[in-house]
Amino acid sequence: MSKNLLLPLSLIFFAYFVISSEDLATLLSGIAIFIIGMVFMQDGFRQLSGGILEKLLQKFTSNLFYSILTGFISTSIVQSSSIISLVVISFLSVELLTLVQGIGVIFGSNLGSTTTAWIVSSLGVDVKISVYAMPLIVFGVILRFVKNNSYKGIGNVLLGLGFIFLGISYMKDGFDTLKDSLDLASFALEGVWGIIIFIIIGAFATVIMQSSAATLAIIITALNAGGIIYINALSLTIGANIGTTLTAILASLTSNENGKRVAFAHFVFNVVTASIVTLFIYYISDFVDLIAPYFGISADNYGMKLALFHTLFSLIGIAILSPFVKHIVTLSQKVIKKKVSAHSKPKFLLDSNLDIPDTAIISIKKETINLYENCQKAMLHALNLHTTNLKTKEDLEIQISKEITKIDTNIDEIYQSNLKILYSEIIKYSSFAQEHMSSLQQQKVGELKRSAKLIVEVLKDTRDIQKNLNFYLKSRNEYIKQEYNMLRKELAAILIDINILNSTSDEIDRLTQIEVLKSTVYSDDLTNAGKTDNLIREGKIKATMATSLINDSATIYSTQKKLVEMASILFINNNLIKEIGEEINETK
Amino acid sequence: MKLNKLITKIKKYIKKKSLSSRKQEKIKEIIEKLTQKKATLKQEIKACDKKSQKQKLQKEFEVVCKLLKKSKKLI
Repeated sequence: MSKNLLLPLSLIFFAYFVISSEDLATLLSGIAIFIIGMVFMQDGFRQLSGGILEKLLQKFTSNLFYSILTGFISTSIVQSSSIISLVVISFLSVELLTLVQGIGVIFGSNLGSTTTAWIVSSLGVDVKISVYAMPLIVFGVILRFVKNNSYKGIGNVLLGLGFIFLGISYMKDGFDTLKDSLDLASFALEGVWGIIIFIIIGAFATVIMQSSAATLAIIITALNAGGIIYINALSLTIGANIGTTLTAILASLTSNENGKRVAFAHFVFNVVTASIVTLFIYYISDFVDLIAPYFGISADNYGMKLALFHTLFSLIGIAILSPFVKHIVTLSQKVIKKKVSAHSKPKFLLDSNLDIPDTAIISIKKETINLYENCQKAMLHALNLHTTNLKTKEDLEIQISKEITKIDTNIDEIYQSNLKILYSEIIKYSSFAQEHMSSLQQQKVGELKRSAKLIVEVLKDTRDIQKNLNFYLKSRNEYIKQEYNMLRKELAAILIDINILNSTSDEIDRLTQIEVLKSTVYSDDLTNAGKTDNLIREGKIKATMATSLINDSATIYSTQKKLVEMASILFINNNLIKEIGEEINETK
Repeated sequence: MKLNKLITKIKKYIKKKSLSSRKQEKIKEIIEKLTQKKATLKQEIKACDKKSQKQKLQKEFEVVCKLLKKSKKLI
């Protein structure tokens, strides 16, 4: 309840400020326009790069130096460390980059993000940049309407630049007028407390705006307008660097452990650097004053000096922490451990059984049944069926007859986070176990491996039909709705039948049930094909619905066949009975 | 040397023979079970009033008949 109220209340609070003070409205509009400009520009670069960015990151990260350099260049061009971080995280998850390379890119990306301060400070001082903003926006909009993706990308970049210029101009005007009505300089705080308080404000502002570039733009324009004193601006910059790591941490919460480790390394980098820079802030400030003339920066150009300070901040961090990247990796691996869920942990694959072939076979079989049970649960959920009260066909009839309530099931996520690990463990264990086995035993393990593969395949088949199933089960066309409900029932029915045969102790009964299932699956497929033809002929369903139905029926038929094959491997133990079953199929 | 080979061959033959006789016994057991099952199913089909249930039993009956036929061939 309180969460639901938070957004409207803060909006009302903001609305009050925007309406009550024109100067504040100008300033806040400037920030908003600047942020939207950043979004457009990042989108534009993403469209323009068309995979170039990914290729660059993959190619030029062979050692730490190149990783840092690539991170610096790519962030300077794209003007977004978040995009680079996202690419790094995705590369880490598929092991295209090592954690050391990934951290190197992040270090470089930190340095690259300091170019924003240079751009804002060089544009915002004497040049009336709003003059350039309007043409850029106009051309940006025109190009956005062109169908070609590259032109669209250029359009977005121009639009982004236009909005950024406009935003900076608004912020400048806002601070200029606000300075007359409100003495911002009276809030200036010197000394240690001033540094600490402004670091906290800088971090907080960055977390709120989710962009250190936006915070820096505000700091520089405020500094140029004389709204804040130089030392407080430096503290705000340090705060912005800490705040940006919190943004990355928040973003990494939904990623895998490697994503979290990169966010952790980013946090370590900025916090350690911020602590060192804070300790020596006056010395570094003096050093900036000393070297500024060499960069053509005049003594009173505080905006540019702040940009130089920001760059130095990142360079100090890189210089101090680069030799310790491997230690940071180890630390991050210790802090963020690989999470293994209960479902992905093998229950029966004991190392002690590896040398005893028959026991190893039993272990593999039991684990494969465990994999099947987990898959079956996910499949039933994907079919919007609750597993708790689903033991018999009668239970299924009751659930099918009820109004459908969608169960959110992300099969890809379930597979990646749980079942893939279990499947890999089965394959790994089987391969080791086969080493000490006779050819007959090896053949048995080979069959079990095949059954595990079939289980994974049926799960993926279910994922493939899930989208259409959810779509057509809500259709206004009763005929297509009924057909999809029938498919759903047929697939669920076979899962229940397999459970029932698993609970039967007599092997002959099991074989009989499997053979009955085979003939049922075959006759169901024939009936479905005939029905679809009739529905099209009678004009009860559209051709597009029919093609979906034909494809999905074929997938269900193949899934059912795979399930029956899996059941005959997993649930028939007696070789002779298996042989009789195979004899029947050969005659067919 | 030749004698050794002969002995191994004889051993293998005896082993195979005993295996196949064990197999035969097992098949006989299976046939017995299937015959019983066939009889039970026949009775169940006769007693069943529900059409869907009857169809299901009929299907099972057909499968059991096929299994029985194949098992007999293995002897």
